[in-house]
Amino acid sequence: MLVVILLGFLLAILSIPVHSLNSERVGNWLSIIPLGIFVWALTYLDRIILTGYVSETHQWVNSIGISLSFRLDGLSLFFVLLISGVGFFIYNYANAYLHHDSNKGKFFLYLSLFMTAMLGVVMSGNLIILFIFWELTSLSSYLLIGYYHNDEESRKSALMAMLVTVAGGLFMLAGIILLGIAAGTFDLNIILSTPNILANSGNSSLIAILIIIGAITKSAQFPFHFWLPNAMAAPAPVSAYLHSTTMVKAGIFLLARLSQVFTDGPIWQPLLVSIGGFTMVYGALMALTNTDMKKVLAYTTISALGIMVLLLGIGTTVSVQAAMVFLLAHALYKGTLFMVTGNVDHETGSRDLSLLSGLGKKMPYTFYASALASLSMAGVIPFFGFIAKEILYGAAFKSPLASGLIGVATFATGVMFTALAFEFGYKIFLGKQSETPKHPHEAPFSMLIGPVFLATLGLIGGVFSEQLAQPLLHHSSSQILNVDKVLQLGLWHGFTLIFGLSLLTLLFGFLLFRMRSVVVNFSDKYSLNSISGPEKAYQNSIPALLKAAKRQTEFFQSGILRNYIVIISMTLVALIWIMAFNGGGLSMLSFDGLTKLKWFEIVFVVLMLVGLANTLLTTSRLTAIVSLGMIGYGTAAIFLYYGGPDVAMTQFLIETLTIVLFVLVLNKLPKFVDVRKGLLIKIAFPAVAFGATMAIILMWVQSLQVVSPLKDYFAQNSYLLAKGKNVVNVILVDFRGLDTLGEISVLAIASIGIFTLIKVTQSKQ
Amino acid sequence: MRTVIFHTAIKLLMPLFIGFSLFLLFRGHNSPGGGFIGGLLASIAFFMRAMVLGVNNTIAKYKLRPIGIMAIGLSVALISVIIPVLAGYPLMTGLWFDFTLPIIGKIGTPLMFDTGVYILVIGVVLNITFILSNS
Repeated sequence: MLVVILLGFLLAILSIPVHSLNSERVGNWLSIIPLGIFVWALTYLDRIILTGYVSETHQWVNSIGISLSFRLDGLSLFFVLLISGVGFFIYNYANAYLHHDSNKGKFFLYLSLFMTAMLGVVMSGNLIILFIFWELTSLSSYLLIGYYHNDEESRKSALMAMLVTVAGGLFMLAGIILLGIAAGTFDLNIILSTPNILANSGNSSLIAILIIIGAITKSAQFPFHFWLPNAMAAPAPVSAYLHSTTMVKAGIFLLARLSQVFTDGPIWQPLLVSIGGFTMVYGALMALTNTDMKKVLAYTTISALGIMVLLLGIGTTVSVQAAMVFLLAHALYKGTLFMVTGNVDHETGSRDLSLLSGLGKKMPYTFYASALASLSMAGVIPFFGFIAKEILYGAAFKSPLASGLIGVATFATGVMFTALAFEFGYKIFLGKQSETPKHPHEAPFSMLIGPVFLATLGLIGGVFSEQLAQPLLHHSSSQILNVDKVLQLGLWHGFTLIFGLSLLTLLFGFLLFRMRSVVVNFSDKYSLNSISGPEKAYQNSIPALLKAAKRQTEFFQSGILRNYIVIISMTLVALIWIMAFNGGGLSMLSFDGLTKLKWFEIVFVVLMLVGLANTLLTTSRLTAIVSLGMIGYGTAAIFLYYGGPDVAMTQFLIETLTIVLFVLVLNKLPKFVDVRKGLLIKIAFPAVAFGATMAIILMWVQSLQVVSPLKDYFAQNSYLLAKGKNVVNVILVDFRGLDTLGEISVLAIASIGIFTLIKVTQSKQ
Repeated sequence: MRTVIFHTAIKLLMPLFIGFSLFLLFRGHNSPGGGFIGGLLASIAFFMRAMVLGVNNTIAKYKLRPIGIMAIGLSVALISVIIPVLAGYPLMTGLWFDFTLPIIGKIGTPLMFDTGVYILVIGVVLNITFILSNS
């Protein structure tokens, strides 16, 4: 399984070279790999039906229990097939959709990165690995949504999608870590095979909430749904792939994956049912009030994801089976409809549902795909969508929690879906042909193969559901919960109440479709589809965040070096004194350990004091610098006497260099500030406080007999292990060599920084 | 500062400065000295030359820009860190040849690392001083 992930990354790396070799067919060539992954995954089907799951582990960060492990079971296999199968068509579709785009290579780089990350999420056998791939999907989706990066809306939408999903990811990370601590492992195989693994943990509800936040931000559930309609700024293949079939379903996957762990807890089911149920109805209503095809599809996707969250929350055998069946049905018809929308947009230049009509004659294949997908979406017999709707109604009306309310809400959503399906399958393709910005004509072959194939699959899958979908879907749902009944798919269950509801859905859906213009006018009049509360909150919080960042930057980084030094030294002083008072440090202060002053020390100290007085009293900067140098040389001389020749040498050289540097920039500095005027309090207090604190620290060090084995260790082993007699140097280049490596890198970076700052200032002048 | 005496003296003294800084570098492992101190000394020497004879003249003479010197220094240090890995030891293990050379002493990866520090320090100091004196 690692091979598949590496293959995906290889695909990403190959994208740009392949594009420069053959820009015409790059997507077609690259699509071979997703197809290969699809076939590879199919070969596992029998083994997984037989043994439950296959896993693979590679050592990684053993010290903290993170291994590079993968797990392929019914649930992940289902997702792998979905990702790679739809991926194959998306590669081909995008190749034609971005026909004239010179950045196509980059697009496929991002797309391959995304696909690999998504495969990683669903195949992870370790929660931390899952998280890493999860974040990678957010990152690559940012790049894909922002693909038209010259457009400001596009950039804003990409940022919004990333901030929302990454923020959710952080909550999820906290949840994963807590879960790992509570369970004692991050290994999914262990977590999933141990019943009641959180039984003894006090914060299982907290963990559940954190994980749910991660999942619902990714799967665009209320109140985090708003990024998805905005993400429609992406090119159509991205919307079809990320925002209907795969990425938004990562949240569903996570909820499904961890259902076993949390479903018996007090919070999991009610929370998921209420979020999913509300989002389901809200999304469908919002879809009704919009007329932009992509927006409508985005809101119906939000609604459909709500249905899946709701079903997982209900947590019965039939409901988790319904979740998987509905997920497949939705992926097939929604992926198709997004590609259809792409075709319509691409070939007519418009995607406004209220304007488009009668395109069927000019775009017969697109019409075919759209009609089939819409029939499936509406839940017409014998399409796969019909089966999904039947089992969905069945699960909703038999919910142990609030079955009446959930049932009615699900039915209402079904009616709204049906009404919208009429728009896509009927209105825009039949009737009188409308005026469009571009003269409409049929899309090229590779933009048709995907939608036509997926739509047809929605029909074949409905007719042959028992043979094609049943085994896989049964095994994927049995990984979610311990199901007590084998999934049975079929078109005909007799004249049941559910069948009656299905017919009613179609009838009411058609009536709602006829009334659609009333609904749209009504919502326009009261501007119901304007920016919603959560989105407004997001939009207000971003400038507020930037403002706060600006304020704190202005406070801490005023650009006046004096202030930086005051802030840094005063922070240090404050921290030290807090520590001192907490630890009773003052009482430990003693003068006993101090040696008697020697004459040369007095000489040096007097010299340094003279230098100090001169620095403070002078009105010339040059004098001040030289006097400071005097203090430095005095210090170096004391080092030299107390057996620190290396330190002393360094000090001498640095003092020299400092003076040289000062002299170089002397006439470029602002006017010299006389410290005696006005600034005395502001500067003298921090300076004295800092100096006194340092002195007291030194006396503490003297009086506290800190036992450090390091000093002896270095002294003893310097020559034996590192073949050097100069302990200071051996520490620098050998024992603590890694620190030195870091330090010299910082030096280099700082130096380049200075270089750049001065060059930039020069070129500005 | 551009007097004839200084002009002539610095040209004569340069080899001495550089030689002494290298001496400090090589003796560092056993006696006071080392890459950092040696590098500082050498950079001050180069800088003095640049003050007297001009920055561009100095760059032209040694055919290296300070950023290039920094890059070389960092690379030398990094390579010395990686060599032990290639030989099958953990990162940064000190590996030494058995023989001892006059003046330089033993040759090994820590000395190479220190040489990297030496070169880098020269690059860093010259980079800052050259840009400041040119501006």
